[in-house]
Amino acid sequence: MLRYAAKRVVGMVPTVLILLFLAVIMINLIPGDAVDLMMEENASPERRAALEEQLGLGEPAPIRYVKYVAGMLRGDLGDSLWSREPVLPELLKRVPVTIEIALLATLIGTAVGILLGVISALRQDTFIDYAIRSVAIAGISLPNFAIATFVVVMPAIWWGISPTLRYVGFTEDPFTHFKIILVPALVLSLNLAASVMRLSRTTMLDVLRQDYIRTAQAKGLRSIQVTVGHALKNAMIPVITLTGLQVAYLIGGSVIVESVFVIPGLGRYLITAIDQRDYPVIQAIVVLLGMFVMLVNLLVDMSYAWFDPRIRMT
Amino acid sequence: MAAEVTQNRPIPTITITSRAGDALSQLGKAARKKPMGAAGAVVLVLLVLVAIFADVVAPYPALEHGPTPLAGPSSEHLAGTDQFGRDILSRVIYGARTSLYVGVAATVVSMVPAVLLGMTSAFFGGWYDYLLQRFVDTIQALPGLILLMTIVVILGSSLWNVIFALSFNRAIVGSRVMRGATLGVSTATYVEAARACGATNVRIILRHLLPNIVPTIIVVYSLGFGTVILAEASLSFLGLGVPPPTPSWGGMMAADGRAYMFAAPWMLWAPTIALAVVVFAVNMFGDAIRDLLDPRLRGTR
Repeated sequence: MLRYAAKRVVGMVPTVLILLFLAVIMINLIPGDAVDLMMEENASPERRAALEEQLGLGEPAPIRYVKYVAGMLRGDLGDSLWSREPVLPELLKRVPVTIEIALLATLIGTAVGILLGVISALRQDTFIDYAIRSVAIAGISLPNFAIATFVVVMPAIWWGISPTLRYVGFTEDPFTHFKIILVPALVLSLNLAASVMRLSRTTMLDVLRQDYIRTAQAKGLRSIQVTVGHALKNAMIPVITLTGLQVAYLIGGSVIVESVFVIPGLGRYLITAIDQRDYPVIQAIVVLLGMFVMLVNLLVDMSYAWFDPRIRMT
Repeated sequence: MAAEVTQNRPIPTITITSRAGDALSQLGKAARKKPMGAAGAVVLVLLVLVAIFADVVAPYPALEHGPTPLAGPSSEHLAGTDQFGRDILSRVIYGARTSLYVGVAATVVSMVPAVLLGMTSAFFGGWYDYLLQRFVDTIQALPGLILLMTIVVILGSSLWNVIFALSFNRAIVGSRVMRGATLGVSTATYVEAARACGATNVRIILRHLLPNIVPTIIVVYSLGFGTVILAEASLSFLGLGVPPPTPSWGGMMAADGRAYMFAAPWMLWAPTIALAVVVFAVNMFGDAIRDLLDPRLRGTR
């Protein structure tokens, strides 16, 4: 297992290097003069020179690449063009909020999705099955920014209540903090719950038809034991794959949902950075999120062995 | 070798009939088998018609400011008006044009590179395959929306840059699926037979492999169409999509809708419903196509 993990981490190196390369040449891809685009009107020549130097536009891309990688190894992801502050500390304050929402949404989405999928499979072609499936298809079709907006707007119009839009940090008051991120996480989890439900229904139906399930039933196990102990674990591998693939999507979704619920996570930081063309910030966000998703994929791959001991980690 | 061949799951064939009547009756059969898919197809046909004939269908021009801003739904303005007095129903109708344009363009533009990269990667293997797949890994590790936002920010916000960003993302994601499908068919005996006959690589790819991955292409792109429309709406919602005043459903729900959402909630209703109905229809249609053409892909989005 450890050897497999080490092998996979080494295998990630080229991907991380490509990611960093893309982040570095990003600025070269801007059509026209990037500095002109960023400068306020009548900016001083000194400011212009400082900006050019900060973006490293005077240097060829390979040198900037080496510098960026070296800086990253020292924990330096560059400075914001506007606040002149280093990007990393600010990011480390915000990234946890976004990842917290995304992970909470993953937990809720998979739990609800699997539960509904299993119920749907056990009650195949009954009213319950149809009801759950219809809701799931609707859940896939509604964009999460629309759901988020409606969750904010409609209770206020119908019942005159609005969700608290003032953010509270975890260290300030963990309970209130949880209450505040719960609603965005719930909104974000809907899409995932719907796709997990559809997939776990399909795989459960597949597994339930197999011989060992009949054996388990024949030897007199209670149906809950058969479902959870025998069927579920074997039906989970495709579901885990799906969930792993969706983590990247959920982080993107979190950016949108955060902006609706006014939560100071990565979303608002990124949107501000984009408005201000603050390239070092955008670069750092791209690099950090890409690496996080790669890490999640590694964990997902390793979890297969736990679900199915037949899968050898080599 | 024989064992490998039996492992290849049967590849569905598309029968091409010469007579239009046959085609129609086949369509009818498919529709009876997949009623929801057929309903989805009908909605999509309606969408296309509405988009093409927007000038005829829409009661007002999409960009014309009216005398009654922020008016609720009435017989004059069925879906109400926005802050400039523009008729929301008309804007939703013209918005269908934007969604469809972006959806079709991104699908068409991304298809060729996806198929080309995926097939050559699987066919030639080696270093080319390795490097290309690491690049695909990298792009796939980035949250799609953040990749799109970054591309649009770098290139600048315009209709074609949005289409380019969406196409780039779809091409990379799609190429992985095409590679898998090509790997699946490239071990077949007829490929070996063709090579034994002295067929060139280009001929093998075009004449022997490509026809066999056509079902996969159709499935991936019919389901992907919904993803593209949603992604465009998300970008526009964040203010990075199709620039105003061009009506876009996502944009109507953001820049236009959100500032007035408490006072004029109807500004949100019409674009949301339109978007949800269209994505729902695409999903139903795509699901049906997948089940009919390539059941192996069940569970992929």
